[in-house]
Amino acid sequence: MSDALIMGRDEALGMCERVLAASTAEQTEVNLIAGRSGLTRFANNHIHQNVAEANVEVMVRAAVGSRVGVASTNDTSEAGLADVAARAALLASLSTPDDLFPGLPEAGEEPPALRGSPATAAFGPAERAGAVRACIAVARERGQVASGACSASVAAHAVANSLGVRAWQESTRANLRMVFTGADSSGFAEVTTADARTIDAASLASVAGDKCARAAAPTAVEPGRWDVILEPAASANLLSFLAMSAFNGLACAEGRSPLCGRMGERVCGENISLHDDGLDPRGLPVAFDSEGVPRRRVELLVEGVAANVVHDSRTAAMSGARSTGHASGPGSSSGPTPGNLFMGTGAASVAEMIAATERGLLVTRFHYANLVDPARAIFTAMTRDGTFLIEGGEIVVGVRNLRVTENMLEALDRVAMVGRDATLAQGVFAPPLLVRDFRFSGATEF
Amino acid sequence: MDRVTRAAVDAAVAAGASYADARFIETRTERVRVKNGAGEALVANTDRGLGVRVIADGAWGFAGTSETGDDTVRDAARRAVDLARAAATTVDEPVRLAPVEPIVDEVPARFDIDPDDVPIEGRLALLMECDRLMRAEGVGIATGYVSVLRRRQHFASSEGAAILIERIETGGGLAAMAVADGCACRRSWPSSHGGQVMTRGWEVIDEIALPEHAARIAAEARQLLDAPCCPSGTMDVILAGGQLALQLHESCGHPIELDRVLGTEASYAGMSFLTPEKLGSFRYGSEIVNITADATLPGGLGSFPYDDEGVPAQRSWIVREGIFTGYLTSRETAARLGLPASNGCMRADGWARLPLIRMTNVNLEPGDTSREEIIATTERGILLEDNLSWSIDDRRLNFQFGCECGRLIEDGELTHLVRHPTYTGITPEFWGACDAIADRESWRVWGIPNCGKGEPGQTAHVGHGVSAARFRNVRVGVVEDE
Repeated sequence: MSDALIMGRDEALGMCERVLAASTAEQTEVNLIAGRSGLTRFANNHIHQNVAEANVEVMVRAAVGSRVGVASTNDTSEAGLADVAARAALLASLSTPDDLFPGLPEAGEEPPALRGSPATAAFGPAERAGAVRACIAVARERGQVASGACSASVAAHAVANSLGVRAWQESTRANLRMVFTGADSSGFAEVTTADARTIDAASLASVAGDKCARAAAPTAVEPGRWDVILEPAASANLLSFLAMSAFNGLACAEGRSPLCGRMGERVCGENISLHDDGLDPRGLPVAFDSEGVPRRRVELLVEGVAANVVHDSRTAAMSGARSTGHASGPGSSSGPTPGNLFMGTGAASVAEMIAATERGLLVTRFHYANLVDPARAIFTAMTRDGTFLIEGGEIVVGVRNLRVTENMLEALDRVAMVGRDATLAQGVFAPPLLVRDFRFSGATEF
Repeated sequence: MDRVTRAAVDAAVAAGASYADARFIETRTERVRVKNGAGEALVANTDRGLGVRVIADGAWGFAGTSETGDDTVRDAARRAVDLARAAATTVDEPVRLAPVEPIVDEVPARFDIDPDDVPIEGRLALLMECDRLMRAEGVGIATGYVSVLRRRQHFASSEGAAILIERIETGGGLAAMAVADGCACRRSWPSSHGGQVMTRGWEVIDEIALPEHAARIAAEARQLLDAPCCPSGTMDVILAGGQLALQLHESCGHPIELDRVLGTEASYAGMSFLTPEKLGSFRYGSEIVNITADATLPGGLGSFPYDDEGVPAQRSWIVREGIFTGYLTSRETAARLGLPASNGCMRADGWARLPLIRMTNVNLEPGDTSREEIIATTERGILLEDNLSWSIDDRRLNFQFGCECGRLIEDGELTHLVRHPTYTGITPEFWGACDAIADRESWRVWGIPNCGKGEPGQTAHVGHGVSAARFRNVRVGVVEDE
């Protein structure tokens, strides 16, 4: 394909074909990822890091019976491709049988060949520096300090296997994230998009600057149970950790998911629906997984009822299901995880949520979230970059940051309002949420 | 002298760089992972490429490429200069570097047993035996893994440095998970984050004696299913081995990174409470707390002969008798703080990444009490082993950890297991409450192979030498409302 942004279908699959031809294994699968990316990082109102990289990685999974080996290289010479094929086949021959290996997927309909954004592919150092300068100008005007990163990347992904699977897609991604700091406060804003033309640096900078100014002179509040408004960056973070622990087909098959044995049950509020959709253009589209299986739309929570988990071919075979196209990569042991989450939206604006809150907190985002007990859906995180006290339906003051230790499903059972304005954050298209009695387990000093 | 790195440096200088360095890196990794009686992953990866870092017009630029033909190398160097010039449009103060003597050296890897002498079949057989022993105890999920990394890194700078470093890392571990009725309990050996990994050969695997511990951890995982939950309240805590290493990592290792302190991680990983005016006077911990950063420790995962700026490995004080006395630095941050030289902590995650300040081996120096004596002198407390979860705020003050296993202590005796113990605190208060540190008998250097930092994301391999330590009046059991 002559107008390819980095590596066209014919070239990428041609390279895969050469690996397949060189392989002596009974079954062989090739993943090729060609990527080019640039990132401009700024802090203290200037750019301190400006980087670019280019790479082509070839990963080969070979099977001899149910014995499997994986090898990878970034040497794409003929010798390099032959060598990686031979190493994968050798490892397969040395391995022990894996009764849970279902064989490689058979060929079906080829997934759509998604295309990336030429504007994002062309978003180079000058464009990134321009966006950063716009942020810094807003910060300087307000007497604040801007830090953040502006990045753009383009990738081509091809999968081919010896059973006839062929798949190719392009993807692009651009991101601008910033934290503005003042004497005793900070504010955050971020945008992630497949099309860099949609980045409005100055507007985002105003959001970060406003939050920073409004959070100044923060007061300390006691931890405990609070009504809380989670802005999209915070709700997305919570949902991504829930997805990791609950909707992973391997965790479910092994009894480690909090949804084990609960499919069809109501596990959270009826106002909560969640699905995964690789083809929804509001996210970062992905047409297929590392096995070349088309990524299917999967309903995860339907009006509070646990509906499905996602699968790769292995967990599908373990569970008597079919793959949903969520394999996480050859040689990975983490199991399939939803990567394109969309939460159903409601009708409320954040302003309406604030107005409906007699006494509560507003959280802009979380920091360093982690799973405390995955099987019970318990996670912890700190708030950062804009946490506010709400009294009488109004934001009254910034507050010092707090620690959350909360059961994610139980929190989603206490959602009083679901916001209408969802945004893409950390790969999750998430709305703001008003959650009753959210559990803050501790506090910090700033 | 390496052709690729020299060509890159020359091209960068010709394009207008006032300083340039280049790293050409070839890496080979092998992983064997067994799960529930099957070879789940036998993986062999090779990777090579070039990273060029420059200063032009007073700003940094960096370009990485996997292609190392003459034209590509020149292009990468010119691209790095272009990137620096784009950055320079926002820079008020040009980058200055603390001086370093340009070194010309070649340093081979250190090992007793070459991992290549242990064939894949032998590695697999070892793990299959451990797997059998774990599953004989009735756990639902048994996993074992070993890994070997080999790396050749050429470094050259426009100041005349030319260094070749060869490195071998070997590691392995086991994990047993028992699952029942919505509860999952895991035990690991020798620790939960990648087992044990060191810059040594196969002798590491021999020393951690995986088969000797397989049945025990599996039995403990099953026992934990029936154990009570960790009580909520305040009690003395004794942190052992891998958990103390991670406590040190998160609450000391990261906040002493001078780039973070000066704000360059502000929007991502955060900043640090250890601001420069505290240097030399701030009480970080009790008087028995002594912390060093030591890249010279034999076998440590954070050990190396020269960092990625060509600065020789060093041992420096971080906390001395409880007082905060030093940072981890780079040439640039050392100059900004007015220090005479960098203490050599710049490392990159491969050729495609820019070096950042990373931990070396950040160690809690041993005390003068035996671990047994610490337990025996604890009236009411809990011994916490092997990390399960971790989180800390963006200035490294409020932390919360979960562990695989807790053992209650009553009147100086270990009594029974508790499930999913958690504890929380504020860093200087917590280290200020440290009243006993175990002696060198139980002191080990633990490798942590998954330390994340930076954008684009980088994973560093770092180390921590620790024994065991007691902390008074710590809040535990934070999952449930008190």
